[in-house]
Amino acid sequence: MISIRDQLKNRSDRRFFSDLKVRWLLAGPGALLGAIVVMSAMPIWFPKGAAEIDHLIFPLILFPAIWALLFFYSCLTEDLIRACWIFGSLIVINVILVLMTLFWP
Amino acid sequence: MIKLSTKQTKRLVSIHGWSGVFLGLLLYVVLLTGTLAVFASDIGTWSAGGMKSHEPLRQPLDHTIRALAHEMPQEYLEEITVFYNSAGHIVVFFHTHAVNPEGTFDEKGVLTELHPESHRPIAQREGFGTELFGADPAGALDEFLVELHVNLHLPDPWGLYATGLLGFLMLVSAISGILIHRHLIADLFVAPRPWNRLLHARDRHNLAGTWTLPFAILLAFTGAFLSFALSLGFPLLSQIAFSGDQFAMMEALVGTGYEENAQPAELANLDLMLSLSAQHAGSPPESFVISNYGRADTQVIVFHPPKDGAMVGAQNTFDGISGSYLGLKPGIGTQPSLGNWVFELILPLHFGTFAGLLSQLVWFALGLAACYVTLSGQQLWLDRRLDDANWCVLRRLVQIVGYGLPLAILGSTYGFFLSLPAKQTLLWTPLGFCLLGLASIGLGVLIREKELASKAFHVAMTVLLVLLPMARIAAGGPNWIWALSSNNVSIVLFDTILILIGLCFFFTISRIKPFVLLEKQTLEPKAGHEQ
Repeated sequence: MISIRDQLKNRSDRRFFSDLKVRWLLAGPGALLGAIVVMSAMPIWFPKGAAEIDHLIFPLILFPAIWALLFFYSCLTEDLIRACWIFGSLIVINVILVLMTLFWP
Repeated sequence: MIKLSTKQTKRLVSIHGWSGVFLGLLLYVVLLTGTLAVFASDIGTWSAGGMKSHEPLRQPLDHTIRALAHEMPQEYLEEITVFYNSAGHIVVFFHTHAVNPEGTFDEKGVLTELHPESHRPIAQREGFGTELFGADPAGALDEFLVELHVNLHLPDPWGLYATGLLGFLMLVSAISGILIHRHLIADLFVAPRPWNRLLHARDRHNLAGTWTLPFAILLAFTGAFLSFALSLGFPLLSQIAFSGDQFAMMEALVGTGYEENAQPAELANLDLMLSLSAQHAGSPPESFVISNYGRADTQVIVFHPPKDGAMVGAQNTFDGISGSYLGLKPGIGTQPSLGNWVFELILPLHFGTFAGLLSQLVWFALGLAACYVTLSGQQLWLDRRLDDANWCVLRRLVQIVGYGLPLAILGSTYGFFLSLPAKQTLLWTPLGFCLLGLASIGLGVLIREKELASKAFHVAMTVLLVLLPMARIAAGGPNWIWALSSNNVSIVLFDTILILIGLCFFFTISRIKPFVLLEKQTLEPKAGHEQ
């Protein structure tokens, strides 16, 4: 007797975007792209600080930390759908911020 | 300890293993060269034959700089950088800022090398900074090692991308190592189990890995930052915050802090400014920069290494016309800020210079331990797959790269010393590396039996290490008597260390024995203690 959970899992493995593939996409290109767009948009909202350089320095310093956070989140999460939503929103919001700064300063 | 489900732990074990297997050898190259780069300036002094003068910028320089400036084209007076190289020679770089033929932001000017005492010109070259700074024959060895660590000698920006990604890999290995460890504190004091070779090897890997974990995370984080900040972050942020103007971003980061005034004016006494700066900083000047020479807005910034007990050095600013002291300048920006504080913390933490020689030694030892963890991790993975022929090539490759890299570095050192009299070091340092690298590959491929190949590598290491000080002296380098009498103790120290390491390799030759999987497995008392 195959349990419902196993049946769902088998169905997931047969899909083109299986759990493994989605996790690979999130942890690989997803985490890198996410970290790059977050870093790119940070100068827009990050406080400039006393010397007006914090908004330039902190995105550079935090880039490895943002990547590591996204990478390990995508590796450890059990809810891949929620992870896809989080990654997607993060990327879309930050890309919009960057485009707005570049084309409508 | 963070509690993970069995599935999550399995996933992390897979990531920890596979990432190490695929990119571990490249990581080993970056780690070993980084470990040596902790002493890059000392290696430079040792290879250049010692410092001819220990504090070259303490001597009167005012007259020399003025005389040189008189001969320079007006555009190169925009900025004058003065420092000393590995041999203790004074280097004066008159330059402007321009975009080089590769399309990147660069410095362009005339670089003059002076004798530290007579101030007689030794060499003079004109061109872009990226070409000029790598063209000193006396500094070819340390430059080669640092470049190998920073960008694996790949063209920009690909080399920096590669080392940045290897920094990410190290971060992944270290963090996943923490998460999958069940006995993190206990493993700090574990005694390797001698009754089983596989468990013994894994215990040693865990022991070295646990001690190096904080170090590995710190280095991976700071290393990835340094690689990606220059290659990716800087161009991206300049596009977003300064509409692509990299000059403007550089100005914002460095911070000029003065009002433009192009009226002609005479520079104040430089020697008095340098002397006053040394008093304020508590250490001798390491380098200084004169901006807008000959103009009313001339500014002089003097850089000092950290004084005793300090973690970071000092940058003192002077009004170049009145000679008055304007105060301490932060590394980034024109006034103290959180960003500058964090940035100034990152550099000494990555280079291991935060507590002088002691921290450098600790960083060097932990670097070697990290190299061991990388190689032993791969070895463990392969030892569990001894019967699988698919892993045979990687097994061979781990041995070849493990021994081949230090042999190739020794090859570059021999290449450097043997070509130093003919000033051909820029050619022979990388060539020596390639030749010994190829010889190592040949040795590893030709000798099929792994233990015999290991013995051959140990013999090669012994011979090359023990003979290196003699080769250095034979090639015209200073002997120990001169080194000791001229306060160049590091030369004697380096030679001694090389001979001792060579002898260690010699005495371990007889201890190389064939690996037998699961030998005496039945004697193992607690199989349940495994992770």
